[in-house]
Amino acid sequence: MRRFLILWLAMAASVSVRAASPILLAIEPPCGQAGTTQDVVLRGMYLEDIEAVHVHEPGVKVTLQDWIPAQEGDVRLREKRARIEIEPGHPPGNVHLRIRTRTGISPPRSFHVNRLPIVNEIESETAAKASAQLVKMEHTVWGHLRRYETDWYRIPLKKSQRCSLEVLGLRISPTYLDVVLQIFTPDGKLFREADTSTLYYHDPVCSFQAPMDGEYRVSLRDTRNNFDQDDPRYGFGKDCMYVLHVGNYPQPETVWPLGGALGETKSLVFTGAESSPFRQEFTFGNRESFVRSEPVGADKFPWAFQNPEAVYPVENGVTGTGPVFVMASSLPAVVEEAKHDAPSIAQALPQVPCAVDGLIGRSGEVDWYSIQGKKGDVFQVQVYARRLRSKLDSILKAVSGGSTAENDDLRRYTVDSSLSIKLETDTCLLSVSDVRGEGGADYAYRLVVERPRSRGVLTTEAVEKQTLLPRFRAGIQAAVPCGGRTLLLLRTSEEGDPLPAFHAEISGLPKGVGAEVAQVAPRQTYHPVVLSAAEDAPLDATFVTPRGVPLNGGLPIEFQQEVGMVHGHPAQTTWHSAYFRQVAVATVEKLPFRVTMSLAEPQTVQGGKAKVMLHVRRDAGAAFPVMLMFPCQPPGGDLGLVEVPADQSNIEVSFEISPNAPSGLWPLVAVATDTDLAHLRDGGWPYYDLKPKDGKKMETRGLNWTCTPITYLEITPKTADSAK
Amino acid sequence: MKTFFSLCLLVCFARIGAAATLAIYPPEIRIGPKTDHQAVVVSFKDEDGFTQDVSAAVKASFAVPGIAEWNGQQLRATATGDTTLTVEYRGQKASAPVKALTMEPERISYLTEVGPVLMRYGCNGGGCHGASRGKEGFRLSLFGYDPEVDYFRLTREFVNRRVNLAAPEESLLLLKASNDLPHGGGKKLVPSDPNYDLLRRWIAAGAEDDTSSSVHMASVSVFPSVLTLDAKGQTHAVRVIASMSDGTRRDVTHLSILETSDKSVASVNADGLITSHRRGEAFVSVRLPALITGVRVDVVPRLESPLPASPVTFNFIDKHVLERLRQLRIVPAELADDRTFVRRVYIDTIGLLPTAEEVTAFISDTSPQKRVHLIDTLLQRDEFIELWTMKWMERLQARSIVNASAGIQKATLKYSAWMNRQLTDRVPMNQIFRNMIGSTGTWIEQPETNFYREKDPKVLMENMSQLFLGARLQCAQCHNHPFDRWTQNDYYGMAAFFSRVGKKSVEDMQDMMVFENRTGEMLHPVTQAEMVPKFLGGATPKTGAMDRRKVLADWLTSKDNTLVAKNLSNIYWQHFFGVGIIDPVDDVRVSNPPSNPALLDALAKRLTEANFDFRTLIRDILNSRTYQQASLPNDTNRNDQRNFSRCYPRRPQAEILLDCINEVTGYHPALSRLELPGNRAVQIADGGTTTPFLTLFGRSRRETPCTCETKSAPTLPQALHLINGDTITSSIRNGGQIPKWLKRFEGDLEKVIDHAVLSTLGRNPTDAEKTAFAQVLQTHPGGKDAALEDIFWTLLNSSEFLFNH
Repeated sequence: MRRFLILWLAMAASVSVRAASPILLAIEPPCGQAGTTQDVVLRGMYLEDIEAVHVHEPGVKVTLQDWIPAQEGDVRLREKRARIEIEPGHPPGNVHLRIRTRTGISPPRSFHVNRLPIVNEIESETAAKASAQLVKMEHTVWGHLRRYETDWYRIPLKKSQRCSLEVLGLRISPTYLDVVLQIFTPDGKLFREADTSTLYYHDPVCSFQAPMDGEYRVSLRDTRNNFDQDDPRYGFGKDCMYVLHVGNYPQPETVWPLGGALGETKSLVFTGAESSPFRQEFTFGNRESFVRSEPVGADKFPWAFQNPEAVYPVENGVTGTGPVFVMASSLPAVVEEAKHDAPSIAQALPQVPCAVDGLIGRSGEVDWYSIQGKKGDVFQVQVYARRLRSKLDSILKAVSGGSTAENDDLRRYTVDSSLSIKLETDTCLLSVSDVRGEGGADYAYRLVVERPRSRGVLTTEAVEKQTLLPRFRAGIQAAVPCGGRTLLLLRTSEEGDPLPAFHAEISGLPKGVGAEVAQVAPRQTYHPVVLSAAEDAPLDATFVTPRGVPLNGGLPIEFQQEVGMVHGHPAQTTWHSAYFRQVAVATVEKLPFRVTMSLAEPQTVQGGKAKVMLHVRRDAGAAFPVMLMFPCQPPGGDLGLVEVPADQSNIEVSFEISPNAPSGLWPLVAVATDTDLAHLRDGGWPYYDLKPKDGKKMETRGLNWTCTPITYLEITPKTADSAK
Repeated sequence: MKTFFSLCLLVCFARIGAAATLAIYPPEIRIGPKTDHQAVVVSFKDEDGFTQDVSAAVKASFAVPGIAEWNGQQLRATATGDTTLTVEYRGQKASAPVKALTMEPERISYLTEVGPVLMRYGCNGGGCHGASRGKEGFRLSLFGYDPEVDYFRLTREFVNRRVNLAAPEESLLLLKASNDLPHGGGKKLVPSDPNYDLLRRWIAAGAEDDTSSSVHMASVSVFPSVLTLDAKGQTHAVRVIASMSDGTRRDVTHLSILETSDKSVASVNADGLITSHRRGEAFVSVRLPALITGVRVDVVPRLESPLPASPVTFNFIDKHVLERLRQLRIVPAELADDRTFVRRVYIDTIGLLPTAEEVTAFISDTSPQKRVHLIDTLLQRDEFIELWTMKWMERLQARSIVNASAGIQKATLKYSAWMNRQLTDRVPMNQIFRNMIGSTGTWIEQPETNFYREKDPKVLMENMSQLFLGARLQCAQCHNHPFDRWTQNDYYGMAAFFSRVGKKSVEDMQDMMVFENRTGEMLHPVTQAEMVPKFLGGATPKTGAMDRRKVLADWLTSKDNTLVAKNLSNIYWQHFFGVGIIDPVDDVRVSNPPSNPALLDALAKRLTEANFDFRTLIRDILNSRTYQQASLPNDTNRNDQRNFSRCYPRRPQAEILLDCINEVTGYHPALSRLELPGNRAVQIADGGTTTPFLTLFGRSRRETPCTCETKSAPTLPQALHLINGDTITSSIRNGGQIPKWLKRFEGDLEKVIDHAVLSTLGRNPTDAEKTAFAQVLQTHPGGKDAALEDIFWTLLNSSEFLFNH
């Protein structure tokens, strides 16, 4: 077998000219204690030429150590030891690591930082209830959950002692993990079960007072027993990891109020089943928590909402392990009155815009508000509740004159409500209630009433959609080959009134890297940015900040990027995302090919055709096909994947221009790779498929990406003459 | 057990011993105002319980003479007034009040006479003009569910053609019915037929439209409703009496459809004369538009010699079963021996075979209470709960759908786990149903809301009715139920309880929110009227702003409502006997009556008294002598399949059979989508998954709440798979039981075989089997190991293993 492995390695090496597009599959342990150094193992693919680990957040430093000898199996799967130094006082929460190799930069992987000391799972003990592993209070334990596996722990407690448990499953596991937590009293009876939680969605939390002295057994398992773990599309079973915090710390279920003004310091009240309400001063940030009301990601998966402000509760000097969430807003806050549960006693809102802090305190309650305006005034009204982890599933109703409008959900999978209302009289009544007719202390909400305004951000768009693995698509991060280029495709994500005309800027690029921002017509969605690196640019990576600068001198348009952290069944659904305000850009080794593009005619009329000549220059002796794609074609463009065969250097293609395409200059960029994308499209799962299929050797190279310089096509208006 | 024996009942089968009785039907006789006569049946029930039609043989007299005359078949009024008819036969007397009313001018009703005639002759059936496109250009509503439209089509669609007012005999209605003009349906009536005359007179009188009249048939009764006939071609007439909504009663035998469930046992003619043929039971259904009733007919032989004394009863169940058997002159089977009993009760109760050690321990137990103790022990096992969780999840359609959201799997598992928890915690079944029907929340957080996977309120209502009431209402969606009393009004009245069920996605794409909307009405498809929620066969509650589903749940699960208790009792009974008292258990209708109504009532009463604790009822069932009977038939019960006179051998359902094979062979291939760690097919929580074995052996696909989804009938492919497939062969090899047993018994082949037989069949090998096995061991070309494997294979392929008996 060893001989076979060596032969396999040799074969792989013969085709693996470059091991671009590294993937960081897992960090073990996935957590560390602030103020300590944590030794970890980085497991991933295409790591052979690893150079460094870059961390999005400050206060965490990673030093690479030695390789762990490769196990029998896929040669692409490698493990490297590393040491993570976490500064004392580092705020709790997830930080995000990326591996940079000489040929690429990986998507991010989460690493959890907290205040409690870390304990490793002992598999031989957690396997059975009887041999459950001992975990002392004020500790964090991490482990794996495999198919049909239940992990057992025991926690010694005294009667009336409070014990809080928080699980990070989907929030930290590289692959889908939906943990259910069960607690058994010392006499063996099931005491509590926690699954989905209001605060952390898939991840359970639980806080209880021990009803008797003794050892409490705690079990964790995946609610579906990890059915999909053996499916290579969704990851390796051994990557299913969890983190369990155990201690006597506050675990509030709700906070009041749910928001405040920018920079405002407020006294927040925390409430939980096992704690008396307690107060905490909190100063809101200076940025609006919700620039947009919806996620910016293409998946629009609701649980990927940009995280509002996280508040870690502190009770009697003890900090909770997990946060509650509030929103900072530029609008003045209004607190709901004691009684306004009927239209006749509707609470008049003194000013618009404003943000009302309300609560559906009892079952069947309906909160009524009235706003004053002029007939014809338009208001945008939104309820923020589930986005702030309130239990309220709101129904928003507006009554003005003889018209009534009602909204339950913003859209599918988004249960908060929103209405755009036009006043028929000078008054409008608004009501908020729960769709199930429920209520209680944890049914708080923020009702935001404002005039319509443009709300939008810049984000990134994948530059290719040929592969079936969305999380590895080019464009999420950028690897710029020395002496070459790569495309960063910015996209506006807007709602409400249109964003003002702006030009995109990008700052913080690695040394030796420049950016050419395409000129685009006003109101266009895509803003191509071609990054180019000098031949002698040092290999490095930075987190760069794109932004839009309005031409009217208004406030800059922020950048937000939603990156799927866990994908799973079905169809690579994004089950957990992280939000970033910067995008990772790395300089990597020179590519053995370059691509350029020229137009047969620099002008094309609306409804006409554009002819494009593609040119591939390969290094001497290189002979491989090059695949090209066109991620930002003008409207009507239907150009798919174009292959320039190994023995050709030029190819001409054409695409149609919609008669409705805007006239003016349109930037064209083609992205290119020397990897066989057809193979990926045809069902290959290069990152996970470990075994050759049908005797064929699997593609072992990662993806190398480059792009052409920006070429402008002028689209001219259709005239009577051109129509002939 | 003392209690049981104190209830012991000794019944002598030599003679039934009941007193002879005489009865007049209908029990109250009204003559007029539409006809001047009333057919009357006098029935004599002798000391052996046989009923005889003695109408022509009785001596009749009247308290007030001159009002009516008796001709041996009917009373004819001679004047108006009240009197009393008294009849006498073999020393028995019976009386019935007679009221002769003033005759009114003839006025034939479309609604209560012409319409029923059209239905009686099949004119508005699905195969004739009741088809969705009608037949030959003439279309009627199916089974006459829309009389207004039918009247229009008959009289107005082609004026003076189908109904010719000027020349009634020239009406197509009569010409076609009598086949005087070619008629695809053939000759249905002849001019001498009273119903032909009825149609003719209706046309001649102007074909009056009374379809909007409020006078309709409110209910129907048949007299007598129970007959016990001997098997020698005995005849007995029955009369059908309709109670009209205006308080009057009419003899509608001539308008009724009379059909027998088993012609070989008893036949019936159009005039209501029932004739017995052979031993057995039959149900003669009597149908009128939207009304149905029937006559239970037992055909039993007159005994030439006394039957043996009845066995001792163990509890109330036996009392009712033996009473019914006594009526049918059936001698129950002997009590099953301990080895048979222990195997049977294990499979039925926990879905597993008893191990050899468990069989041995039970056999060697000398306690007279050992069966009771074993039953109690089994009812405490987790496997008992898991088995019933599976059975309920089958009916509740707990399954994920291929290519649907992965979360459906999670919701499905949660649903199954929820049911398991409810059963473990002994939540009363009616409470479980109430929680499901009135549930609000998300599939994952409130798993009982998975009951609302279905979107269509009509289908929700159908599923609920089939599941909780055992009633299949699907037919009544489009027309009045032809074989039950449910009308479209009943259907949509019930569906209105679900018309406000709201569903919406929540943040988790694997989840769904179920709630009660504030608005939403169910429209009647014919009248387009908003239907007011109405309990099936019950009242119209005031729902107001209440959650309609909770109103329904309260009614449905009330202890006063016996429907659910009966349905549940029947379901539990069917599991342990293979046949329901009403069978199929989810096809409760008038035309499918219980084989033993008293038993079903008693079981339902017991379940209700036990606060719907299903363990209590199952304990009673298992402790009954009826359950513990042997399967070996005697001469009297050989053909009995419905009266529980013996144990009916049955193949365990797919999951249980696979678990038994895996358990005895020690091989546990991986199964998927189990809610909890484990590896038994019964534990598979998701109906969306299966294995080839489970599919072949009829695992429920859980696509509907129908019990027919689970198939236990043996098939040829099953037999071929067991013989040639890899399930048994690979299980024997991979399980490695033979080597383990060889080691355990230190190579003693006889002990290994004894153990194999004990493990698989729950008994020791017979002498003949021992001889045969010894011969195989000596002559097998593959040696002793191969011989042992073959013997093991043979045992697993034997009917004795594959059937619970």
